[in-house]
Amino acid sequence: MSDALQSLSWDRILVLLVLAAWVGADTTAFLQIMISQPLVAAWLGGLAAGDGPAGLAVGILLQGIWARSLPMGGASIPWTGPAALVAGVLACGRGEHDLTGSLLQVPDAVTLAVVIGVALLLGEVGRRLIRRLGHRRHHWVLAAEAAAERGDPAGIVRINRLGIVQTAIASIGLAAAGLVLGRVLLVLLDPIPPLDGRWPAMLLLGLGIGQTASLVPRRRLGWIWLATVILAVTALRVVP
Amino acid sequence: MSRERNHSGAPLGRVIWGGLSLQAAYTPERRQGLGVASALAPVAARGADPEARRRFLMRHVESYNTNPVLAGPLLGALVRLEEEALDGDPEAEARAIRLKRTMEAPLAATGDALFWNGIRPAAAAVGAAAAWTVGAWGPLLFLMLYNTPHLALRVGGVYWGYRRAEGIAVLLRADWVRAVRVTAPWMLLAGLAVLGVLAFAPASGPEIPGILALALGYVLGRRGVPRGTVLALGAIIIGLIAATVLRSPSG
Repeated sequence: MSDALQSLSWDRILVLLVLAAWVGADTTAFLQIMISQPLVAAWLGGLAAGDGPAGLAVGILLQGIWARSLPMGGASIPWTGPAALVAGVLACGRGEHDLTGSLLQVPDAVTLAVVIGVALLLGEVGRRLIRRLGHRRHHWVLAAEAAAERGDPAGIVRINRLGIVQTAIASIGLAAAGLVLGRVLLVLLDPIPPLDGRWPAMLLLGLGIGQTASLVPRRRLGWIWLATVILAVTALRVVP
Repeated sequence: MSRERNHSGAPLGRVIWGGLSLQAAYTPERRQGLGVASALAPVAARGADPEARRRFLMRHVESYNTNPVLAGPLLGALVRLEEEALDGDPEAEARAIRLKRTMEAPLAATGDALFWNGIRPAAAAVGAAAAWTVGAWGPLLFLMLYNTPHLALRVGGVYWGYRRAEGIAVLLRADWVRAVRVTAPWMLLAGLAVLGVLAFAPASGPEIPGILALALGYVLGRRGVPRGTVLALGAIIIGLIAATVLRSPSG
């Protein structure tokens, strides 16, 4: 079984660090062009580690899993950016099973379980980390008020920029911890014979599509449209 | 006072840049307050009177929370009103405070529905469906579909808000906003239907477990419990069991 993590060169590691900082900051702190969404972040992780399609397959699965994690009203959500980036890197070079009708490949079942499990864990740890960082910024508020009292706009800008730096550093730390944890788990579980990864992949994808479809307002009868299209195409293909 | 003038020279570009990090120093007590004050700092820096500058910064460092995408037009409008206040308009300061307070909740509600619950999941569904067949073009398509309206509002919206000032309220009733809110669920369904067909209705026969998981995901998602993380862990465990039990003799 090839392991992209073992053969990561220093320049790729540097690219990964920059990406970890960027996808971490993109979630809320800076830009928010949505490279932190799992579909993009996992693909970028795979690409940086040398296997974009493997990262993309994992990204599609994670996008569905976190479909209902919406920051409505400033709600606390999993930190998807660094978590998906790590998942993309861990899946790199391990694609063994074709996803039906797709050019993409997923790893064997145990590896996929580790990749998705580590991503879910990082997402939840990241959620708490972001919340804790926010709660520990009281002294920033005092410093910003002091700057305002002095009539010093540059002082407030500096404090705000500090937020971007802090978030980026936290994201790099989280991603590094996730890569180490994932690597250790993959080495420990390596002796287990490979199992077909399509089973968990199909179940995760189905759950993801169903969860995403549940976002459609009830009055639009989204489930009827979705079910009709899938059943109609299935029937057309099954009936000779 | 002419509505076309850009009184501040060129601070709008710097306000846009600052607006891109509106939530960088987010705190539970001030929320986006530090971000708003930071974004408007280039305008405050133009004030020659230290007392006016102090009042300017103090009123914007207060607690504030709205949708970061729709904050673009609001920032533009605030730049306009704050410039008028710095120019000596005695009422502009009160107008800026009133605009901020009256637009906070409506912009948050409209922006959240439009972007977090509308354009983003729809663009992601289309991107994922595209990725299934054309690989890397999928995430790129997602980024393009999302960022066209996102950056238009976040960058162009500041210029638009600057020209409109208090008139930015028309944004909430704009035809295009209503059109996007109607179209986004259909785009979402189209993306999901294509992805569902590609994944679960291949020529080799339907993938029944996947279709059942889809139905379960829909029902549980509709009920709001449990969270995606818990569902995914369940799917992995069942998938591992299925892969072990149904393993072919050759391994």
